[in-house]
Amino acid sequence: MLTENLTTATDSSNRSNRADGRAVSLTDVELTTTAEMARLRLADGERSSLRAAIEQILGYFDQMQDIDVSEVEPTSHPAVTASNPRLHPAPLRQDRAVDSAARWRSAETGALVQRATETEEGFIITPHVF
Amino acid sequence: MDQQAQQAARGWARLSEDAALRSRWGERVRTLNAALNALIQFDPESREQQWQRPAGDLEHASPPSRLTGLPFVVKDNIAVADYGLTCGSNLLRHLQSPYTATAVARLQRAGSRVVGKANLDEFGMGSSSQHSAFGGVVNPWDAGVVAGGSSGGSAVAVAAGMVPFALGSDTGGSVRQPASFCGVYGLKPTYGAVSRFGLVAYASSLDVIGIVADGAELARAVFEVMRGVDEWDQSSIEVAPDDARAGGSDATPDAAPTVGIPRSALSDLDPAVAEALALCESRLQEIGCKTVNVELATLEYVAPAYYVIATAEASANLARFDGIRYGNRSSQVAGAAEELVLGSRSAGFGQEVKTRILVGTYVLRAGFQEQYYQRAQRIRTLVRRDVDRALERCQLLLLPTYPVPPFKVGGGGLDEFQQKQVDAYTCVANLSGHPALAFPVTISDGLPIGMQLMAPPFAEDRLFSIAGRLERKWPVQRAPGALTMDDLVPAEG
Repeated sequence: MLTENLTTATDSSNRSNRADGRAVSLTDVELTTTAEMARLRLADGERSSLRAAIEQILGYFDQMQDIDVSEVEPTSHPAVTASNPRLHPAPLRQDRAVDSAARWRSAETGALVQRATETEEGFIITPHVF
Repeated sequence: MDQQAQQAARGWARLSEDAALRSRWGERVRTLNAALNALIQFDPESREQQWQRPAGDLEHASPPSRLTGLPFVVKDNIAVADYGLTCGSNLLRHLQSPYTATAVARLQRAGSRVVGKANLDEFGMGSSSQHSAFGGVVNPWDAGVVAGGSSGGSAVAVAAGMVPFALGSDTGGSVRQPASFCGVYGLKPTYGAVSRFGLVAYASSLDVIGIVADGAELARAVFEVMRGVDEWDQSSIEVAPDDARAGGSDATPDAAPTVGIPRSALSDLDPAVAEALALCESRLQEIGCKTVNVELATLEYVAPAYYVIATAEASANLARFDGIRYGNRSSQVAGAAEELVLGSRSAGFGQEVKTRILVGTYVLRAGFQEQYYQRAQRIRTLVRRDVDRALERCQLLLLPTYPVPPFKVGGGGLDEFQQKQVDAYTCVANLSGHPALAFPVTISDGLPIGMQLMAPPFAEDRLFSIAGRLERKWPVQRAPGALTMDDLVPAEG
């Protein structure tokens, strides 16, 4: 039963894609560009399966076109502090100068830097950037 | 805590006092874990000193509480100092955390002991706990079905009786769905109720640290310790005490609340799940609750909106994993830094994570933001309004955790895409920010089926109260072969 419903849902999203005149297919160039932006190198063997998975999800996203949201403000964050006197969010830290070098020398930060593969005198070694 | 829960807690607390008992327990957990793969790290013997040290010796320790001496495990995307922090990923396979998440530290100060790190879908992305670089998690009810995910290791550790409670993370149902699949309790707190400091970010506007527990009252006790504002998490919120709570949870006006069921939005339920919903409704009525129908018309847009937001935020959050600062560095260092980043990420991330990063990157591309991310955020507003409106007519909402029973390993009719589509029932609380508690209802064909209750923001108390009353009247069946402290005691004599 569920599978039938899911098939129907997929069909209807395909219909809406056609109605929008937008085929949900990813060209080779689009896939490559997206992967470059995501700093991922796709092996030949994984390109087709990733492409199929992405196209399927993007087609599903088009279902969102069926609902009118023109008069609706976006919600970027579900914080619910407004207008409730019982709720007290974390205060912003004070905007003042601090000795950042001292923070970098702290044990915790030092321990974090030590997690990198290559370090030297509290700095992380990287290959040449330029 | 009721008498039974107190007795169980005392059993667990004996671990602190009895080294021989600890040793037998450790052995049993190891044997269970060899079959279930719930824990990535379990080495309490090497941390024997933590049992010797009374909670009062810890800095800022709380007075002894009902959590004193209780062992727990932490999903491996939540930081605990000197434990690994793999996130179930090859990329972070060797990372050791230098610090401890606030939620974990608060439990430690209350006397609870971290004893291991739980397996998960890589970076919390999945509904089956099969997407882990450390192998899939096995459901103790049936090795042929998945444990659910992404906090499958946490749910299985509790269901198998390794520990009484565990921490997980819930971005779209990742605590509640595995809890339901394994027949235990799973809380997704209100967004902001529990500090996320130390949780490796997946989708920041949706992520919360949640609780898996073997009872509703224990979940309440853990939540009470974890919750509250934290200077290290700007999104955390302190809630001033509410006078209505002063008389004890069962004595409040919520003792017999009205429960809304969005029946018209629940059309695609598997018959076994529909039956469990009907059973749960009749039990709620039997303890004095009134049930009403409510509308949740936007439910059909929840899953696509959720996945747009989750993948978009994931693509940004996971950009930090570059193989330079932490995590495995690609051995292809001959080229420029860019080559190192590409090589480390491509070799380190699994397929599901790559898919989500690529989808998230695509929807955030210039020109597409209004079509995807902005639209999803507007739908999020509508979903939240819908839930708020429904909760004007009732004190709690009841809906299934998942529309089908635990599915078979390998998908069992649900491929990766379909597993995303059916996440709507859990994702709704992440989009809206409301708290939700999954609880076991029945066993169907040998597999547990759970429901979830949703409450207004910061009204977690209502969830524990009703789930606790159901639990006392209809005790929950334990998974086959689950360990109990009683099993370990006779060996003493």
